[in-house]
Amino acid sequence: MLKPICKRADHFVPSPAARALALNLVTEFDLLRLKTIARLYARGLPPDVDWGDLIQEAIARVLSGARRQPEGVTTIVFLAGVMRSLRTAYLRRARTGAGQQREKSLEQAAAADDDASRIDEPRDPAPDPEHAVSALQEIAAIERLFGGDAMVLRIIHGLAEGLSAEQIRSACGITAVDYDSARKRMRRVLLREGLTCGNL
Amino acid sequence: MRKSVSAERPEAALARIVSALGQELLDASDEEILAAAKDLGMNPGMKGSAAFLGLKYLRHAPPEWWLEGFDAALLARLGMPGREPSELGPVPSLTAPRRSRRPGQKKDRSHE
Repeated sequence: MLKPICKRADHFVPSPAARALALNLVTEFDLLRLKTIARLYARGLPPDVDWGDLIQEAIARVLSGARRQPEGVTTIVFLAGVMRSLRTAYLRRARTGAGQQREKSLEQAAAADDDASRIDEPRDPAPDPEHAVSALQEIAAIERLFGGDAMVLRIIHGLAEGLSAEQIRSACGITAVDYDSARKRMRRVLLREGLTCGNL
Repeated sequence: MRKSVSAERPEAALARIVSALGQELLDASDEEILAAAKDLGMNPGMKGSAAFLGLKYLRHAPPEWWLEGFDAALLARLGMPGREPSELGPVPSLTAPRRSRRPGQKKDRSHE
C-alpha cells in the first residue's frame, strides 16, 4: 500500500523522540536556520507538502539511520542536504504521479543524493507545463522578495543560470565587495521571510 | 546575461536558485539570524518566541521520551545511552489539546 510522502512525515510527527533528539543535534540558532531553509525548499512543492513536512521527514530519515551522516559534515548541513534531496524526490513524485511510483523509489531517490554538495535538479527532461508555470510563479515570488534591489536580482538571475559567483561578478561588473554586500542583504531578506510563517 | 530567468526551463532554474539561496542561509551567522529576528520584533532567546513557531515540538519534548525506539548504533555514535522500554513513561499524544496555565500558576517542571 502506497502512502503519500506527507502522510509518512505526519506518521513520524507524533514521535517526540525525533524532535527531542533533533534538539540535541542542533542549536537553537540552527533550528531557526533549518526552518528558514525548509521554508525556502518548500517553494514549488505540491500544496499538501509544507516546510514542516520537510523538516520532520529529514529528521526521521536521519534518526532512523536511513541517511548516514558523513564524517566531517555538520548536522545542520547534513539535514539541509537531506531536505534538498527530499524536495527533489517530492517534485519527481509529483511529476510522475503518486500512484505510479513506489515509496521504495522515493527512498532510493533520496538516498542517492547523499552527497550534500550536489545540486538537485529535476532529472526528468520531459516538459511539464503545469510544473513549469508553478516554478515560474515561485521564481517571481522570490524576485518580489528582492524587488527593490537590482544587484541582488542580477545575482539571482546568474544563480538561475548556474553561474558561479566569479562568473556573475564578471558578467554583471560587480566588485567583490559589492557582491558580498549584496549577499548579506540577500541573507537578511531570506532570514526575515523564513523566520515568519506568513505568506509573501 | 539574460534579463529574465523565465525563458529557460523554469524548474531547473528554480532548483538552482533554491539551492544557492539555501546555501546562503546555511552560511548565515547566528548574529545575522538574531538581527533578522529583531527586525521582526522577535527575541529568539525568549522562550516561546514566534521565531520558533512550527518548531516548538522540536524544542519542548520531555527528556524521558528522547531515546525511545531509535537505532542503538546511532545513539551510541551520538554518545547517547539507550533505554529499556520499561524505563519510558507513557508517550502523550501531541494531537491532544494542551492545558493552558492560568496566570500565577506555576509551570509543572517535573518532566524536565
